[in-house]
Amino acid sequence: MMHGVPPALADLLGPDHVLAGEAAADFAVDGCRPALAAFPGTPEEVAAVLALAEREGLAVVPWGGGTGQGLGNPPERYDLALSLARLDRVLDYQPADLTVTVEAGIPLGRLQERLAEHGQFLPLDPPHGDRATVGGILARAATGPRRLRYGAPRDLLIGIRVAHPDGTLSRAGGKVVKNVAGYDLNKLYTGSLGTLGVIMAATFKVLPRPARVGTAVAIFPSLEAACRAARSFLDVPARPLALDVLNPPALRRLADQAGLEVRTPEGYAVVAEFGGVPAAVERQLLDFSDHMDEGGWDLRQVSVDVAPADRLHQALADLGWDVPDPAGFALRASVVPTAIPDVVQAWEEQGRQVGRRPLVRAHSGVGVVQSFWGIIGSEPPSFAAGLVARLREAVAGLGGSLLVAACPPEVKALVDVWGPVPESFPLMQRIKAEFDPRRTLNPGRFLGRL
Amino acid sequence: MDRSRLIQDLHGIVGHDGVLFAPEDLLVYEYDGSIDRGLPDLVVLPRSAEEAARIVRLAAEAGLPVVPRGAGTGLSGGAVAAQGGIAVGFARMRRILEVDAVNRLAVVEPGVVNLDLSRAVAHLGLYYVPDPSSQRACTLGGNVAENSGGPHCLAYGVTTNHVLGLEVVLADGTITWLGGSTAEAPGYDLRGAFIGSEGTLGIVTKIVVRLLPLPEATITTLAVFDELDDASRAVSAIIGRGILPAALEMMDRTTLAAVAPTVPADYPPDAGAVLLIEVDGLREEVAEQARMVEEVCREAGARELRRAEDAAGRERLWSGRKGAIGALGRLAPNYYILDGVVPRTRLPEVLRAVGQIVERHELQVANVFHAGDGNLHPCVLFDEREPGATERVLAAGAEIMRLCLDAGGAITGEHGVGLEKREFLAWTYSDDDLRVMQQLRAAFQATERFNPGKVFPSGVACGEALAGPRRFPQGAGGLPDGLWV
Repeated sequence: MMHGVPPALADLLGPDHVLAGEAAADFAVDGCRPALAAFPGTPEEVAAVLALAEREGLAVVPWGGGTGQGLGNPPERYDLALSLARLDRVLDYQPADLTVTVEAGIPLGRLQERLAEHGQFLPLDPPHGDRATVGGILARAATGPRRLRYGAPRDLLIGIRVAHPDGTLSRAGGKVVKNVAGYDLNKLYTGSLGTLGVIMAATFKVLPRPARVGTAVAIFPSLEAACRAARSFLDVPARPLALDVLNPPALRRLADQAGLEVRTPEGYAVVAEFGGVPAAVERQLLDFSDHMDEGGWDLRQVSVDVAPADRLHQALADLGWDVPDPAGFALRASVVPTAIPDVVQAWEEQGRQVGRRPLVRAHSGVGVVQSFWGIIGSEPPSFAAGLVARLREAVAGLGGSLLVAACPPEVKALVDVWGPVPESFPLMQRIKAEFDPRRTLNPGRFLGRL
Repeated sequence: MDRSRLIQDLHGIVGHDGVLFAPEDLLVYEYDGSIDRGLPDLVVLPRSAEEAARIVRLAAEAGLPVVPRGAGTGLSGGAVAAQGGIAVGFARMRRILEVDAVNRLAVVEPGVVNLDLSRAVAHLGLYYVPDPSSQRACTLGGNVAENSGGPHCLAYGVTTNHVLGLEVVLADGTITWLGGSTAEAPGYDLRGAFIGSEGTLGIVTKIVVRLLPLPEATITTLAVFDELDDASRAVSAIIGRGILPAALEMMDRTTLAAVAPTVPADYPPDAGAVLLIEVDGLREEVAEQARMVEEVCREAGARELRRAEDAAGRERLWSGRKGAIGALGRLAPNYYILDGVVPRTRLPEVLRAVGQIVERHELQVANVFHAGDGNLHPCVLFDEREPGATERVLAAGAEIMRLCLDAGGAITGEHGVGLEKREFLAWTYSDDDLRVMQQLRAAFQATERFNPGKVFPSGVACGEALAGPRRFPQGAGGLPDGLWV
């Protein structure tokens, strides 16, 4: 099967843009190593590589910056790493139209720098935002704390170009912010983990940077107090960009990374970001302080603008992901916002039972709760698997879903990282069969091992 | 299956009240807000998702397509039974099932009227944001099918940004949820792929919507210009300055001539164009934005600026915009509304070109539209009784769509492709692009089952497809109550 492939790839891309054997080791996923890595330079080359792979029955993993490759089940087969690193240009930027079109391999940080030249930004703040590529962020539908105000990648994407396993290239959407021509395939590709096609380019709506960003932290003695304070703050006129609740380990980590002075290191924190015209930000910071103080929740400390806004934002966006622990695992639950305190409490309780203190952080108003569990140590993988099962059960009981966002391959062998399939799964299977009939792209890594 | 047997079986599902088959009853369902007509074989009104599912299965047995239908206010023929079949209406599924004020969501049946939802949650300090101009009449199910927009979508997004989940009936009669009530769910974004599919992938039987808190402050400004060009430059400049108003609407001289005598807004009848600009949000933001907007308008040559900060004043200013289409009947017996989108920076030149195209075809145009997101609604005015007028109108429409595409835009911003623009989809997308979309439809097993003949090109040559029985809406009196565009 593989005999003719390396020379065929070298013919397509040039020998400098193909790696084989040991040289491809960097592209391992969950301990699976591909035989080859390819670095196409144009969408047509990507399409040609995919067509070759489909013909030869190869399994392909698309690669961006590699920051999110820990997500998903291990690939059921893995022959070829397809790197989008050479497709990294800004194709079309119209500041006066507030739209930008980029190739998928551009790191988000580099795009933000370009947009900043015109006082604009793309309001996405996933972890490792500097290095993560736009294509990878779209494929994972990755979000960060400012999702509360600005939405998820699906809400910002207006046009896309995709390479298909049969070697064709296609477009969906366009370059204007209102467009209902044809099916909204932008939404289909976003979050599809590269299993339906490989993203070549994307067009986004961008926004002017807020004139001022202000931050605030309030610390309470209990989870319940912090959650109630945060929840009720959503009802006041203030419009936070982000509003996160942190448990003590999370607060301590944030304090370390952002240089915050915390007098109550055992407290539960509410962290808020505000952006806009300076007068509006000042008023919201005041509203925050007043609200946290006057609610009768036994406020221990409230501080505004305690760190440069950029630094705090970066620390908040990366919180939990900043200190990678290959032997630990990360969970991501999605529930209705009112269920947040129950999730956090259930998880902390599970932690106490097994003698672990996870770092837990929640996006108030959005309903996403993440926890990060440290090294499992000498326990067998089944210990972690059992813990995950109990944590997942707690979330399911609250009507939500749980994703194991990262964990060691030995644990992946024992858990399904995506959880039970929804009732629409047969429809998803049919979509996969239509778009990738030979299971060329990321086979087995997505929900239900699609 | 013979017709009387089919009717009997349908009676068994929805009861005798729920099936319409007499010719005079079917006629009411022959049209929507567009220029197309199509008589359904039967009209059925289910009361639940289960009844809708049984109807779908029965239709399949009978070899008839299913054409879902909301209020019939659509402007592209989406609800028109172009190939006959069973029209499914939702007049008996219009309950608001649940409102969760704390989690800011609601669960509704598809027949709920858009504005009624906002009214129902106003006392909680909440509202449903997407506000298509027909919101007094259109239904949420229809909004989902078309991914409807509206003036306030500039800052807040369209239907797909405000729907969390859909319960749908698929081609095989299965009832299934796409998405749900939470922000994230594993798997493909089927809800997102379904929204805007114009009734071709299935029937919506429940919708989980996001509700937003009402803004703290709102300021509406009317800016009056002597020249259309100045107004469109002002639009580009507002966006270019980094202001995203909640709404930014434009009306031209022709529209003002029709509107000014009829509405309480005191619109200047002799202006070249007016802009209606609304900013909302926090007090301080709104004050600053309104100030900047007025500055930009003055720089662009506005001769008058009028501001309203209270509800009554804003209502007055908006009445002119909302009364615009209805007022066009004073100018001509018929109108044809287009729906192109262009990048905002291209607005001035595109509007000029639209004027030239219309003039060349010896027609008149009234421009009234969502300037803030580049979504044009040129209303071509004519008299369909005049020999050749219809052909000239359709030809002008095609040229304007071409113009929008050449300017880097789109053929439809919010009205949908439907019947009206299906051939133009081939101007927007390549054969490969369209084939990929059809893959989605094949996965839903819905090809030709739901709303056949819509969205995708027929493969027939342009000219032939555009001919055929079409009647244009009357300039006045032919509009559903409360409809404005």
